[in-house]
Amino acid sequence: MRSLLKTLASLRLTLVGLVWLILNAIAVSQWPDGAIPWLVLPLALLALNLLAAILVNRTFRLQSALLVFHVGLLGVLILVAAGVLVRFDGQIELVEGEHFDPAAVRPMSRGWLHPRRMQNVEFSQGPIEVRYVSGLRRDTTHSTLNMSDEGSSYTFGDRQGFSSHGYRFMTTPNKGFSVLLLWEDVDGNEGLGAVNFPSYPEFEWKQQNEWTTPSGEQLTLELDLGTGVPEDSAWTLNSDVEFELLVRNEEGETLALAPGDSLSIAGGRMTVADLRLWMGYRIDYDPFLSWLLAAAFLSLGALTVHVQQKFRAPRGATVNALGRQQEA
Amino acid sequence: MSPVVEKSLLIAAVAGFGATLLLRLVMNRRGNESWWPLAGGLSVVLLFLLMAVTARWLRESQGPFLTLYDILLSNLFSLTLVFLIAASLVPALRTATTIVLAFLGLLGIWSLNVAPDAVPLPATFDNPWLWLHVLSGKLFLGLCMLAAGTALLLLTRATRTDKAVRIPDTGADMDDAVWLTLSLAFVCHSFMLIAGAIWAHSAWGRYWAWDSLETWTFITWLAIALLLHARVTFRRMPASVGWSAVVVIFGLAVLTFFGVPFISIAPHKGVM
Repeated sequence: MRSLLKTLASLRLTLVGLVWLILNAIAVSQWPDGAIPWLVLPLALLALNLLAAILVNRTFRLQSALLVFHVGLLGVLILVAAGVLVRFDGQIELVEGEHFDPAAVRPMSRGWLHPRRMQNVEFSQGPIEVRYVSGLRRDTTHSTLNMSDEGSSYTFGDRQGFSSHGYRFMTTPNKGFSVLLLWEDVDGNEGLGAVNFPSYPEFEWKQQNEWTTPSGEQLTLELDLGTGVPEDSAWTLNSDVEFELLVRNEEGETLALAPGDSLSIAGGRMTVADLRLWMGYRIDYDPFLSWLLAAAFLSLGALTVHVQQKFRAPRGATVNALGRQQEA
Repeated sequence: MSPVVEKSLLIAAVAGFGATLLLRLVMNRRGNESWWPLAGGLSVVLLFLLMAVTARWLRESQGPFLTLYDILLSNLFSLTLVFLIAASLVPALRTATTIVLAFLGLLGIWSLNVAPDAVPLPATFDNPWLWLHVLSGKLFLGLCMLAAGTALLLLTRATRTDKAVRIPDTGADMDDAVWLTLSLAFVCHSFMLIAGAIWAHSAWGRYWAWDSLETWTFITWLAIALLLHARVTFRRMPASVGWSAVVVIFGLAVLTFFGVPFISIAPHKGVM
């Protein structure tokens, strides 16, 4: 057992693992989408090598800072692996007044062991406000969420996120206008829905989207805000703006509708109910992040102490780069 | 201050590098090993660079973080500062003055030929971890430059002795200086990775995304770790192999700092 451990703890094996990892990382730089499979095997080998070295390598007993550095490094590897297994990354767009629906989240990546607790997250989107300074430079973003159970609200944005049941919601630069449409079919049944327009002001020049009515009519909706984006002065993006909705049918006929106006279409009647803002969120879940940070800083602190000890060692007994004492 | 003033200050700094290098060569020829005239010349250059960075900062109302010009200008300042301080404290590092001045001069000429574009810093990018990430990165590159400059000098001196590769007279101190500065660079690089991960988690929602810059920065870190381990594993490894590897690692770091961010399309990309 001990000889196996010694073999596993070999520094030559460390070199093999590092070269393997470097080669695979170079491959990742070319094909970043498949990063994890490329890296799992060399990282597993290095983790095993590191664990064995910590257990049997006498150098570590002589150099406590070096030992702590490597233990911290092993901790980082384990916590990164655990995070990859349970993590979740996704995106969602929410319109002012809309309730958060986990089913509407678009997953970007999901770990095999992700606990799927998102159904516990409950809130509705409150007012959104994005401030710009002169020169069309985005300043601060304020998004308010109304908590369903507590009756309270939470305003956040930019660097500050909102966390619930381990999921962190972050605002993104992706946001824009959304028109609320009331649809009434020939039987008098009503339904309210929203059509999101492209991100604003990034795509101010093409505020258009397609909408198919419940009766199957294909419409092109275009938002006409009257005035453009003020580039030379500060301004605030919110939903309190005057607008007209240009509706074009499949025959190319266009009609301008003001808020409250209705349009009769085959199979029902469409009314322009309101104009709101939508906000794009990035959602992530990784319960090991705090521990990962602690392990990384522990490792860094120990490395710093180790290098400092190397500086302070007398010339006759200098300590080499990895901490072994050597004769001058 | 106008862009013309900023450009004039940069031209003065580059000319200052040339003048200090000339002074160094003349002093070498006369056998004068004195450091302080060179330190004086570099201090003047540093002052020009400080004024150029400040002028740009005031005009753009943001730090020099994003474009290739920003990165070149700010690194010219930080690399000169790191060299000036380190060489003043550790005499063994002064031997690399010629190589370091030549490198900084070339970097300066490059920066003079880059359009001084400015890109607004997104609100989410502007947090204290960005500062710590950038500062530790600049410290890493400065220390790595010192290690590589000294290693390159040792290599040229060693190869001059024709047959046997032998460490020159002051080589022991210089060799120590190479490995100590590389070890310190490794610490700074590690901190740069951690601070960068915290910043990225806040700025674009993930602490690591395997974008080109992150990947090549990680490769640089692994390359240093590999070299430090190889040095312990192969005790009889010729010193020249170790020095060559230090120079290669610095080349990798330069490529990562000044090349990768401006050819990728990731969030780290210079122009966003």
